[in-house]
Amino acid sequence: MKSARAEVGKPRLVTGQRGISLVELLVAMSIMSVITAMLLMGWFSLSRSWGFTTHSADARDSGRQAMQRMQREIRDAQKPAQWYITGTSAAAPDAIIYRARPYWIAFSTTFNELDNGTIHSVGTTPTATPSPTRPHLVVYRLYRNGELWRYEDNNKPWNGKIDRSDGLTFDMLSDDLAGFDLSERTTGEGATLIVSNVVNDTDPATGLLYTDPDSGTPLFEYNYYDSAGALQSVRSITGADRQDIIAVQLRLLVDLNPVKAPVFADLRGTAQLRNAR
Amino acid sequence: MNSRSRFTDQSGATLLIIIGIAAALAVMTASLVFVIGNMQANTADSRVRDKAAAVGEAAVDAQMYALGRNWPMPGYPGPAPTMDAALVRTQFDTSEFPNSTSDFVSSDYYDNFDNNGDHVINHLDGQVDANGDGLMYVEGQGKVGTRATRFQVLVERTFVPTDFPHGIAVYDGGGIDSNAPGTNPKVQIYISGGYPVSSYVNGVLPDPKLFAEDIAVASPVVPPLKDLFPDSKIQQIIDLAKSMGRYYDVAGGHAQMPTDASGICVIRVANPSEVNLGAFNGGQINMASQGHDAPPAATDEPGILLILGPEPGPGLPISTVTGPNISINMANNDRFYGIFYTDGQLNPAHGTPAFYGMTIFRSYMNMIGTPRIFYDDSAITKLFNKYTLSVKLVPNTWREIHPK
Repeated sequence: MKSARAEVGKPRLVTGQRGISLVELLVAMSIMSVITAMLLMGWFSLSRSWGFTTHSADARDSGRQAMQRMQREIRDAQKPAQWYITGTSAAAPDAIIYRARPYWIAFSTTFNELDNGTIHSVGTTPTATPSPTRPHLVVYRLYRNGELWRYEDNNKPWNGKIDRSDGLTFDMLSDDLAGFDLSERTTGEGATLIVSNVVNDTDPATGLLYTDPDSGTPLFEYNYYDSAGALQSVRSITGADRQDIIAVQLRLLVDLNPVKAPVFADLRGTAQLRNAR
Repeated sequence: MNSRSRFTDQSGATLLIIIGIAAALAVMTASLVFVIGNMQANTADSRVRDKAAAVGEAAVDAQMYALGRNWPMPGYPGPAPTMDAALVRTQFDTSEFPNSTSDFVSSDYYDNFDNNGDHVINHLDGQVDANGDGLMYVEGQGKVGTRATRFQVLVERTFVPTDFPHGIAVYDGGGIDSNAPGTNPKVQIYISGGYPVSSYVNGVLPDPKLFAEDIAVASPVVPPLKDLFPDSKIQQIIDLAKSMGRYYDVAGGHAQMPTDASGICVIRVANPSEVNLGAFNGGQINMASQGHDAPPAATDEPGILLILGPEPGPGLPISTVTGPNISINMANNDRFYGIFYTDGQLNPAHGTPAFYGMTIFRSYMNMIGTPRIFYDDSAITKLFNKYTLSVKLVPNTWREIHPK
């Protein structure tokens, strides 16, 4: 009996091979095509699902963190010093909420300041006038492109303004998000992108931007008690009535599936102004 | 061909493709699980942070409540205003707010003045309102899971309006009797406080010398009591007594007579009834805390004692029961120092009891014997802003600070 090793090196006779017929080849190709199509479909489907899930999870996470950040910061908002914002020490302190608009808000807060919790006694001798950390100006603003940005007066000494590095004036007057200069996102003081794909000003039925911004879902609404003692909720408050604001309702609509069929994450919260109670 | 050779002789790529796709799917699944897990962790973290903030706010509120019950003043012998952490813990479900350790909720309070001179106002400045300005700092912290949130706020003490009118020695809404002139005057001024002192007697005086000459007596017609001592003030005292556990509705069967008359004490008794103060007839109410047979010392604390008739019906004034059927007895050398108010009458005294402060008998006064009444303005002065109504947040001082 010859071993298999003994066969090595000998020319192999290509005899008796039958090959495959055309029919067999077609059948095999058909089966392979079906299997490949199934695999590819599964692959693409899973790939899409994976992409959507990771992206939506990321968007949802960003939205929730933005919501929480705004809630905490607005909750701790407090009246600025007399000289702050107004620029004159003789003027009465401005309201806690400096601008109360549907798509942007400006307020003074001490949130997250390093020296919070340490109250210094003023002067060389102990006095009863403590000097806690001072509130400074913070702005949250939603732009037409769906980006929510945060600005902060962080160039000490604080001057009560959001400065711009290009020398222009930061817009503190426009009512709606259509009028904002997008370049302030790169030149505004302390500019930070908080979350993208915010669609508060988008029609959920068509996925298109409202031509009238007042038709959109306000990012901020403001609560106050009217003269009859009834709780009111409005999109905007100006003038001295800002002093009456007691809470801010937040509603953040984030598109989890941008550029495609919109899938909204609807995040809501309330920030009660602790320093206005 | 056996099965082994079938596999080893495979020369196509199907298996490799399947293995490759399976591997890619496994990687995608793993990354998806990771992403979802990360998102869930972030969500949970946000929720835990919010919960910790809720507990921290509850700690601030609970500490403010405790300060409202016992505002710490220098030398004040009240209990320390300690937050009831166990009670706060019961307000939060343990499954939703997991943390079984003592750091679940904590609080601190300290004076708003740099008492130790280190130029920083903090716990080291003492847990007492040393400068007496009615302001203190409160810190409250909550910890849920691994997240802690701490708040700091300046709080202000507000007072029950115990601003009684100065200069009223006696208000007698009924008649008066006395065995004058032997032991007159029986109503005198001990400390006027610089105020003119008056008395009001709704009836004919048996002897003008019953009152000391420096007391202006309105008689026989007197203004309504509510013009001098408004019903709203009585209601405030009643409410305060209720909040302090010093309201005794004996007439309604809801309480026994109190055993002492210190501090604030409001008693509703049946009509008719006899209330024995001090030693008289084994008196129901011990007056020892009020001192004996001596004028009040500068360190003595005045009280407020209201002895009223039964609870009036809905819509009726606070005190509707007047008449001779609620009689107040006091004897020996017992003394009351403060504001004394009754719907009833003063009975004949037994011995030489004394009232220092302001006295109001809405029905009648029997001054036969040797009872003594002294107007003492120090009682009114000391009672002003003595009792805490509430502790409120000073606007613009609320802030989130770093947890400890």
